[in-house]
Amino acid sequence: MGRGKTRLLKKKITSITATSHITRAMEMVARARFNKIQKYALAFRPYAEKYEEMAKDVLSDISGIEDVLLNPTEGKKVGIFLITGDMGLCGSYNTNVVQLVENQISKLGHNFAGLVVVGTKGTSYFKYHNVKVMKSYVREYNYPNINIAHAIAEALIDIIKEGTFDRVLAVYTNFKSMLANLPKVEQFIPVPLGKRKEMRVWEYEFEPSSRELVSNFVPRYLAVKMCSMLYEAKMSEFAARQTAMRNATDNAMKMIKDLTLRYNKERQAYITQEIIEITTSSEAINK
Amino acid sequence: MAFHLQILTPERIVVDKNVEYINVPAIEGFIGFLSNHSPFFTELKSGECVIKSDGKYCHYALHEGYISVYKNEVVVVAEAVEHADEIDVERAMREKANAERVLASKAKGLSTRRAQAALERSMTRIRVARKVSRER
Repeated sequence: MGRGKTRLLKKKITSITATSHITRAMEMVARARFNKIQKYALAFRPYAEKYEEMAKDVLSDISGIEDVLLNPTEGKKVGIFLITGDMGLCGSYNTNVVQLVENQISKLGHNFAGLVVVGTKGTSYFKYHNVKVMKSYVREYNYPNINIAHAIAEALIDIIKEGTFDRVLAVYTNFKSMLANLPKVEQFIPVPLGKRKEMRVWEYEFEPSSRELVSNFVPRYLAVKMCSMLYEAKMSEFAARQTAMRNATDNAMKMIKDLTLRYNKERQAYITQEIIEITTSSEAINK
Repeated sequence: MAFHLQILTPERIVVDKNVEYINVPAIEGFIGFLSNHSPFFTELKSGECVIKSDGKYCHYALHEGYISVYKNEVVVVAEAVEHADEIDVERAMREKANAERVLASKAKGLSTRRAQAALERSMTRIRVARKVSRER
């Protein structure tokens, strides 16, 4: 009891207040970056949608076309492509992705062939745990764009063409809401073929022949898909960081409130005790 | 007679309106489309794209994409599209010089392909910008 304890509490309160300033600033940074990236992602969406529609037309009749990017092989060697963040302090965003990838790896067993990773967090985790990382893209702090997407998609295509992978699964976080986004697994290569309701492909005139078109179209289509995934993941990351930092700030505020209450009680107790001591001693003298 | 045209890039929707005519740099040469064209699909390379709407011609530099024509709905997706007035010729010249330097250094693989594409783009930009300024 006494001065020492109140001083300790005061110190704690100051330090937590400083932390809360930092977390609040980080929340605001995350919010600003989220807004910016959302703008880019929204501008990209119509482009991606048109590509998706064209893919349905171009790829609805691929009979007779032998392409490793289209024809589902037996799928013995499965590679996993995953998107994590380069920075932490975003709640369970990175761990969720890593966990899902771990599940997939154990499910694949011997068929698992390797990883291609975006983000420092995923790279360092899997390197530490001695999982085969074929290629990694780290410190892409800039906003995703179609050029980066092209480079990554091309690298995956090269790995497939070398024969190291037969199939690529993509694990990334799809952005649904500000609050919670869960990662998901998607077949990336070979391209999953969707069917258009009205089969209009028969009416199309293709130039050059549809066979030559397809071999150029697929890599571009994959790059567009890659770019959408990068946007989704980045949006989720900033949303997660924003939420995590807001929670941290709220918790700090609650702690400050509790500590202040305790500090005041201690101070009161100390003063009361001091008064009692003074009065008793003065009474002792007067007797 | 007009048809609906959409030109999209990863950054924005460049054109979304009714036009009378479009000419695009297809992989096997320029192709023009009027309304009621039969369904058509082809790949586009870097080149000049001309659109006629309300009797006026607009010139664009268009780079790598696809065009799909179906029942008077024409959709063009391209990596980049610039209106002739938006083109910064000086910048295009610099890009051209850069690309030529990379190609001259005989680097292999990806960078050559990139440089080749960059060279084509810059040349298209310069061509389109010069052509438009000459016509004025």
